[in-house]
Amino acid sequence: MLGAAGLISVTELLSCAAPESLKTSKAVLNQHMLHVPLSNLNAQGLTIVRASGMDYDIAVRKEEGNTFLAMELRCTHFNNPLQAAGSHFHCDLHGSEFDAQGAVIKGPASLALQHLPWSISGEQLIIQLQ
Amino acid sequence: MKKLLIALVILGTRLPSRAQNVPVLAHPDQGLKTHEDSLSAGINSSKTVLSGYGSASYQRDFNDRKGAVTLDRAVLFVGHQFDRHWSFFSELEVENAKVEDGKPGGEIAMEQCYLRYNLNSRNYFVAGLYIPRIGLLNENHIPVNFNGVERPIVEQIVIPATWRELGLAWYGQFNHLQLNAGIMNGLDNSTMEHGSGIREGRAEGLLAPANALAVSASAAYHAGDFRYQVSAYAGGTTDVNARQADSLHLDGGAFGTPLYLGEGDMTWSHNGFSAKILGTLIAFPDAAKVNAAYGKNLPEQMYGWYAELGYDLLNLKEWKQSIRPKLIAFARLEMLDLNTRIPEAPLGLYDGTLQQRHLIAGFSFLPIPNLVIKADIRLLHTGDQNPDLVIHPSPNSLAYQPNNHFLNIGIGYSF
Repeated sequence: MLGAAGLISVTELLSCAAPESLKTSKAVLNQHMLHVPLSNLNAQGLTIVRASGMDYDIAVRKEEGNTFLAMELRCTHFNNPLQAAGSHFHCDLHGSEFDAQGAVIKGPASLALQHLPWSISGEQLIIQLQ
Repeated sequence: MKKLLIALVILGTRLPSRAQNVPVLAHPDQGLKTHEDSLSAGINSSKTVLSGYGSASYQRDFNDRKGAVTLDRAVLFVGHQFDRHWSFFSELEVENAKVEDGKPGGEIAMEQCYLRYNLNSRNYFVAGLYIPRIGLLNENHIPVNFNGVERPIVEQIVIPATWRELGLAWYGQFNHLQLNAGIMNGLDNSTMEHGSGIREGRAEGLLAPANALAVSASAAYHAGDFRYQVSAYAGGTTDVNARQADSLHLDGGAFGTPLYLGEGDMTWSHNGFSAKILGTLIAFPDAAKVNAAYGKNLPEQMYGWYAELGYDLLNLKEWKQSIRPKLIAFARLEMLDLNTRIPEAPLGLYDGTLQQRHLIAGFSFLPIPNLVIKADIRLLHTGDQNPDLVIHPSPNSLAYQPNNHFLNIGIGYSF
């Protein structure tokens, strides 16, 4: 164990980057379309979007090329709401974890988080919910 | 017909064209083509869900020079969503494969069985047989999510793993903070036994006496890659009626002859590294009264703590597939004493064998997140045996050995 740790470069060990910044934003839900002001979105990290009438929060991350990744924070195991936890999402019901792209990193969930279709209209990001 | 055509033309001109905006399906995986695609995209529209986990293990006891192999458990989850607000969840477990009348070992039990009401996405209530949020393993006990073939010893015998009772609880989430509070039936001091902590005092939904009640609460906070939690439990343990309690010189009532538990833990993971620290303390101030009433040897205080460090040796490897295997090397040190403080003699006798140190080191290989193959060595050291507690001393029986080691090999799954 100690030998294995010794093989890891010090720079890798010390690359415990500062926790990703997290922002929350309110949005307006209109007929399965979630309208989020672009100005409310976190330019550097994750934004948790919620609106009245929604059963689950939506995680929105700005990506390269002015694109976005939007995922419903619903655990694919038993539909429990997920928590944003550093660089991943965590379910407190049975311990499932999903990475920043929604892929499963810890079970018992086996299905990845759903990526939601989105578009930009004016100054708003519009996310299409199922 | 003409009006319909005109209406369609007008409608067509008002829809935003893809040329005007970023395309709706901006992510290549968003286009759903087949049912298999929908499954991989995470759409689960079924209202009734079957899930489960299980494990099997081999253990070699080097002092006894014996090996044993067992199907530790096979567990089935069944959940059903009635509507947006109401759902049902259950967990049925079979331990050691078979339950046979008169033979020890096997067990069939409901580990959870409750109704859940979602007030909104961040607040919900449960009612029924549920597992209170105490410790790390109590709730999250599936084999793919902890290192070691055996569950952490502290979270087996100090905080009993999968400790469940009948009651009502609330769970709330406020940004990074998760809060929880619950009320449930209390423990039963008449069934607690020396050397087993509070395990034998649990009812677990089986004709649970409800004269004694208990409350629990927890607070958990996510800060980056860290998660911190504190939890507490306080409950009565006298489950007989007032007349019986009086004759036994025990304090009755909902919170009579109380037992208290406090716990704190921290978990962290980043770049393939993971760490856990947990500590717990149980206080049973009226243990002397219970010992006098029932001729037991229960302690006034017990504690346990552990610290674990792990590293995924495959973390730096490049993988072409999206599902990454893991090979976690880990080490864990656990310390506990099930009788840190005892009533004065003759109402209490210290048992050094309940003061234990466990050092576990090994590997967990997960080819996919829901399958695990594990192997580890556990080194055990205890305090000395108390001659006053030995009915058949050496040479009539083998001399007690405070040191032992075990080889464990196991497999586990969840789905």
